Amino acid sequence: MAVRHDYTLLLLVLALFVFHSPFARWWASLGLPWYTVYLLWAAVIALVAYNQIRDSSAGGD
Amino acid sequence: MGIELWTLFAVALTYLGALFLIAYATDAGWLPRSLVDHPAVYALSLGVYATSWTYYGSVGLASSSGFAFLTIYLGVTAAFLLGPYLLQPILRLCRDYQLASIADLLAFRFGGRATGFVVTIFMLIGILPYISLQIHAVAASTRVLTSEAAPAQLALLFCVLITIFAVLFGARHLTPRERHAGLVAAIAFESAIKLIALLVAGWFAVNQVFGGFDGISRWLADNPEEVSTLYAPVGTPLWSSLLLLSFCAAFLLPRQYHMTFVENERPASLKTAYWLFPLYLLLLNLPILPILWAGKYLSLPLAPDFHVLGMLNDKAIALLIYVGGLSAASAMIIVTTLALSYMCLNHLFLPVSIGAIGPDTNLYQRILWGKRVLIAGIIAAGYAFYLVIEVHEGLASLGLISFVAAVQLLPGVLGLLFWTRATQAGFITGLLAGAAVWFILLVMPLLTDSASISSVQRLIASLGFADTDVWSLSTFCSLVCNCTAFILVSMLTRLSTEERDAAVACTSDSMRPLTGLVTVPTVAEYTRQLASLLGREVADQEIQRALMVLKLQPGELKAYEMRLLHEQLERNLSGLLGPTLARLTLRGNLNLADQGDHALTESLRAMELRLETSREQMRGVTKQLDDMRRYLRDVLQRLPIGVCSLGPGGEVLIWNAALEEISAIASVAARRGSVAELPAPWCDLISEFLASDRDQSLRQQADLGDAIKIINFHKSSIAVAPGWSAGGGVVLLVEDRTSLETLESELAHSERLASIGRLAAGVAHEIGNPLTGIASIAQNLQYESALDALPETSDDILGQVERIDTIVKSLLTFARSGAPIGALRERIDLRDSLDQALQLVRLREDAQQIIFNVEIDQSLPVAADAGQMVQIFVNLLNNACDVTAPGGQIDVFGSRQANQVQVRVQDRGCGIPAQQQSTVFEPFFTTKPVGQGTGLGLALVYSLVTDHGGRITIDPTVTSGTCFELLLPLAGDADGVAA
Repeated sequence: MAVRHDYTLLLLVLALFVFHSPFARWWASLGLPWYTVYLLWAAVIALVAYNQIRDSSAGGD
Repeated sequence: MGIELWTLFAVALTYLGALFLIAYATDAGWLPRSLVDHPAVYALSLGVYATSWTYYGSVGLASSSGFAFLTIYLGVTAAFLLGPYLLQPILRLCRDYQLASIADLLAFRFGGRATGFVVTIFMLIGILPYISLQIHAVAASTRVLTSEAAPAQLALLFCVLITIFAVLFGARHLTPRERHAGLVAAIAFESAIKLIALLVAGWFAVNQVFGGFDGISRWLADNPEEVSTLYAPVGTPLWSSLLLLSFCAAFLLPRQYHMTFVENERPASLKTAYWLFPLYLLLLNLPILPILWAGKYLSLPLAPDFHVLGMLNDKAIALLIYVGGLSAASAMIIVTTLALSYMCLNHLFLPVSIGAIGPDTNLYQRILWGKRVLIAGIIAAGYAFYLVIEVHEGLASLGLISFVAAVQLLPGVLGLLFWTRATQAGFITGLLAGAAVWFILLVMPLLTDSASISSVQRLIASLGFADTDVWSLSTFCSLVCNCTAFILVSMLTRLSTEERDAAVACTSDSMRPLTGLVTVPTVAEYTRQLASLLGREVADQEIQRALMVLKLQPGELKAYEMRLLHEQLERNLSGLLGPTLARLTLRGNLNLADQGDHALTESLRAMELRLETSREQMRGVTKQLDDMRRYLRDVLQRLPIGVCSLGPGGEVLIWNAALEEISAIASVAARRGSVAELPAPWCDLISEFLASDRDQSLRQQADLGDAIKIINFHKSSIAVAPGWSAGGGVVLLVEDRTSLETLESELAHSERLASIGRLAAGVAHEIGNPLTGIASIAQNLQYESALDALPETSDDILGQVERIDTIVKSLLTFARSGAPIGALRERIDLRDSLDQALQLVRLREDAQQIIFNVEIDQSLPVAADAGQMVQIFVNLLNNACDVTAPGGQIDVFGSRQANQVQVRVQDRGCGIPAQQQSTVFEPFFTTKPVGQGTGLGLALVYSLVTDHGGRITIDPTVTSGTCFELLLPLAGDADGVAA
């Protein structure tokens, strides 16, 4: 359980880093394609899903 | 496009009818349970978050604020990412305490009617703009498609339809606490329709407007500013503010709270929703930008909010998109009005009307009709708000006003989850402060003709905050005021007892402690009292429901079962009346006795029963703690020593299996009452021991009729546990020494026989000598005929025979299988025992060449068992002989020391190493070679001496050989025969 929560917080930090930090301003200024935000968002969701499914299969609650 | 109004009306009616059918089919069990309970259905039902704002307004927000429109969904993703810390605890509280709305949740923690009242009023005002947004969106979308009807009339028609539907749909159940599987299924269906409709619109924009992705790419290449302006808001204050607002809206908006927590059937579904719901939102937002660009490409003369309708040239697709918009608006209005109606009913109307309820009132019907009226009233208020305001800035502005309102609950919810010091006064003050700022900055401009959100923006710019948008400023200012007041006032005010209990329940997995006793003696009386408060029907049904949950049979209930029944009723009524009213109703009228004599006992028993019945609902830490509790309980139960725990009033709390066996009293019978109610002889034995100031009581005889048991009692006080209103108690250890006593006596006897065996050679020799003498004298008799020599000869024979007799008597005294150790005590002179022991030991063959230096005072009276004293000294002297070389000396000193008798037996052998001196008295410890010592001699000596109240030690100052120092209490004049 503790391990899962650690990953949860890690994911939160990662999401904040991507979407709410000076790093966000940096990638926003690169002139990336319009769907980049969606890809980043999908990546975060995929990590959350992986974390959740792995935890569930490990018998966590 | 020119679709007829009646067509839209028919489509809307058909769609709402289909929704009702889905809900009805689900409730009736026509749909497979595996489908209804599937986590995906629950995750889709959370899609009620996506309203007309998402459906139409996202395009408008993207047009004005670029990618900032995505923050409304990225914030939700963050909230669900934090689910284990944020959503799971709220879900637990909601399920455990039947908290049917966000107002219930906050009122549960920040007790009192004021909390629920303030939250409800504020949410009602705060959500009205949002409801009006839905009405506006439906009316505007209808006008876009029909191009003819007056929007106000269309809006009224929509409101009437949705009111009928919401009343039929959401207020069909008698009791509000029941989960609406039909509602969840219908809202999930609406979410699916929204997604399909938007994806179709996106497909239309890409393929029909642009001719494929290549067309979009070309158009974007020709208009690069379209992409660059999208990225402009990333990282700005608006970006941050919207992230925070949507983060809070994900679980604080009444409809989100309702669908996420109240309608959650299985907690595991929430875990799937951590990722599935954000994925749904991602898919829902994929078509937004193509739709926006399609509108721009076609140069539509419409507000961007309605590009999705304006770009269409296909009637069927237009109807699908319209149904999608209808789905978004209807789902939001239904769930929101349902949630708000609970809040209004529980916190505004029932508190003032419950006093008028009599035994014949049907409260269920009253609540049901109240809810229906409230649903209609709330939708009417939303419509009125729609008529009053004018939307200049797009649909998103109205939604964001409600978001800023919802965020005012964030400090309270965070305090509820993480800060036990937060008080009701702090929460209400903070909420009022934040609400005031919210009202001034965001609502007042909407209500006046001369002002709007834009005018506030201009005002802010004129004050020097040109780069700050109105949403960031209002969010920041309101939250700062809210948090500051919340923290300051909480620090300055005190927590009430109920708030403290609720804070413990909110911040940990533990259940609320059960304090006090229900003074109502029977279920029938309880039902009668409840009927006078809530009506007969409600009282009967609620009592039956609570008994069923607790798996109790109606009739005579024990005190702790009544306490559990009361607690379960409070929970059930919390789902019906709200936590505050339920608590006030039950506690105010049923009069809990807080300091009953058996309060602690009953609370513990009730807690035990509650834990047993709720075991299957436990998860995580709670389950682990319960596992540990069970393990420790089993340890106590299976301890091979009797354990009895008593409450402060002497009530028996624990009576373990060993004690059941020792006392022949079943645990259930013992725990039925107090110590005074235990059968003889335990009642007297335990009571006397409890009354004494000793920590232990040894060798107490318990006469059980068919047998006598020797019992040792030990006791220790239990400190007062934090959180319990009642005091501590006492824990008793009950040790059955009966078999041990028998064993010790047998060991002593064995040791005596072993000693006799060792002495046998010497005895034979000693008896042989006088016999030889007697034989010689007898032979002389044959030759001596002179009669005058006969008396002398006879005396010699008698002397030798007396010597044999003395030896034999000493042996018999020593070998006697006596009563249990210490059982026969009389006043004896220890000198006699020492003399007898010396006489016996001198019989050893190797003892003939040992010098015994004996210096013993004339009289050493002790109260002891003579045989056991002889055994003590025989063992000590035998050991000394074993280590003494021929010609060596053994000293035996006996003297009085104050009120004690001191005997020292010292040899000059090899001595006992210091590290072994502490273990020589333990059984089976020996320094002799294998086969030459049993290791029981000194253990027996130690046992005998301590049983006589004495002490035996090894004098550490003696370095040459070993000196055993024995101290026994000097016998007083009163010491006679003792048992």
